[in-house]
Amino acid sequence: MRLIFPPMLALAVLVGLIGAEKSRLPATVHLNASGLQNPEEQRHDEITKQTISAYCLSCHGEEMIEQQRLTPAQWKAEIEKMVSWGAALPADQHSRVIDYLSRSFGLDAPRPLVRIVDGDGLEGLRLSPEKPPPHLLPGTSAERGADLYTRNCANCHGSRGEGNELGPRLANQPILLHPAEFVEVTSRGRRRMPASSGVLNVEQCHDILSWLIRQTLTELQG
Amino acid sequence: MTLEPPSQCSDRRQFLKGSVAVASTVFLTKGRASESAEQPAAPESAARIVRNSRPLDLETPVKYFDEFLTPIPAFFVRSHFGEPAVGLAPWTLTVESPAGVIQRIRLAQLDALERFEFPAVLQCAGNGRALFRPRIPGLAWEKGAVGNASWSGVRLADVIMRFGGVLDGVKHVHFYGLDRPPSPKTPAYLRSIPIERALDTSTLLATHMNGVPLPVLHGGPLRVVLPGWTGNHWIKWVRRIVLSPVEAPGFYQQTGYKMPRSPLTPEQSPPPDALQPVTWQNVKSLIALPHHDSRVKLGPIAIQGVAWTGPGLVERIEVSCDGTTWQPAQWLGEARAGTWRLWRADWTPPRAGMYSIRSRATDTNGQTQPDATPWNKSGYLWNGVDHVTFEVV
Repeated sequence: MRLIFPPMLALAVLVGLIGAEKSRLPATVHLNASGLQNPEEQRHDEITKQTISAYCLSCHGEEMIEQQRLTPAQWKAEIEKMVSWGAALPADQHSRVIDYLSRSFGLDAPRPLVRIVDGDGLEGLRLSPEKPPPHLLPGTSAERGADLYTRNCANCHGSRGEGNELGPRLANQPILLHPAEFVEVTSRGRRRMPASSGVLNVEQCHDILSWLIRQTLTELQG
Repeated sequence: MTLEPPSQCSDRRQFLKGSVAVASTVFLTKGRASESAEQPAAPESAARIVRNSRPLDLETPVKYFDEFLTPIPAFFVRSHFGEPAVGLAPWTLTVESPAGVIQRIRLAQLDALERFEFPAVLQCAGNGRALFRPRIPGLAWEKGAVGNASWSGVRLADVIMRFGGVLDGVKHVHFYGLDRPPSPKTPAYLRSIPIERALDTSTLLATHMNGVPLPVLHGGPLRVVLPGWTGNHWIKWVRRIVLSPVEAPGFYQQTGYKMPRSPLTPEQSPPPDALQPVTWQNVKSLIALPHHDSRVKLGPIAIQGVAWTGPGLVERIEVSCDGTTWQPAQWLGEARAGTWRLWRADWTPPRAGMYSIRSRATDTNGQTQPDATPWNKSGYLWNGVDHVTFEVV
């Protein structure tokens, strides 16, 4: 698959990689290294954490990792299972990631720190709104959205919004019911997804959202 | 096969026919006043433990198990792939045979069927996984991937009879929800149950939970309710029901959610025919009070909790406050198949210090909680004796 990088998007990718990672890591929870003193080893682990964030946290939260207490053999088996289920962790990164996870979340690691949240104190705790957005947001065009999606999103999220190795499924996901949040996440970027704010304006984000909603309705009929 | 219509008696219905005779239970219909139909004074919010932020997997702290019905804001949340975008189009449910769709139903069409409401315990098959040793990969649930709610809806048997056509040769019923995996390479979640369980009068397609429309997080607008069986069967966001001579294909039915017929050690790799699907829950109790790691004043202490089982009824509940002897605790409320029973014991510690108390339930099939559940590689059905440690000051 040939990746298309218009110059503006390439710049946005660079900005996104620098800016998005720090802002998206939750303040109270982090992947903790195990008592390393050597700054170079710490830097090595920071890069591994970014690898994990890029290839694992696109599908699920970090708690799933942090609360495990597994042997190296168990970590290896879990990584292989995740890769078979779509995690695009490059083969040359496997041993580095297994090593980091075994050191940080092995049998001797301390009891996991857990978050306790109530009400809406969690980004993902969204219920369907009373009134979902209309199938076509006023003033938007799902046809324009189809073209914008193909050029800006499909390489990572799949031609039908079904997800692929680089990005998760979008069709049928609850974020489609929250236009403001959809625009914010795409504008600011998230993990490996670059910020679109230098490339797409709000109306174009709405066009893409309208197309994704139409795509979802097509799926529902199938 | 011949279908027997669900038996209809005035207000009493046999709740859960299994291979074991169960005491007949009061079958609640909507609006009937009773201890267990009372809705709890719902807190506006409740603190839950994050086991996964995406998709949301939230565990209930055991302190909320001091009431018969678990309030919705405190109720545990679990799914493999998170909720779908519910509400973009009117909900449809298809009933299908292997030959194709028989009926496509709108929710309003279910109003033509009689509604039933009763309490039932929903427990994740992996609740307690983090308590097994040696350690097992998977969501690190401790005690609170469980809750008791009052479920209201229509009988699956009535839906199948009304919309399902001829049932000759049908041995299994498949359930598919609207949720989808994040990647096309990840297997979709689904469930397949034997036709006998599908037609049991306690098997519901539920639209309401604790008196309110089923929240999306808990499978709204429609989910399967299968009292006594583990939560993996209680499919959320049900869209398709398929009547079939065979089990559903796919990882989550063919490989996932299986346990060895007899306990194995971690080193053993069982052949496929040594495995069977997880179905019934097992006997279990949890201590809601006093809270683990708490401090209480020297004086009389109320020990409280819940107990339930899979097939049968919980019969005996005991507590141990000295690490050696067991005393009976008192039941609060009647035994009812598929739901839990509150219990209480009063105890006065002899002096200040650290104490550990334990609870142990026994059911009418003679099953008792072990100290530690036999290990299984997926960490299912932990039902070891519960214990809490606290300081008396």
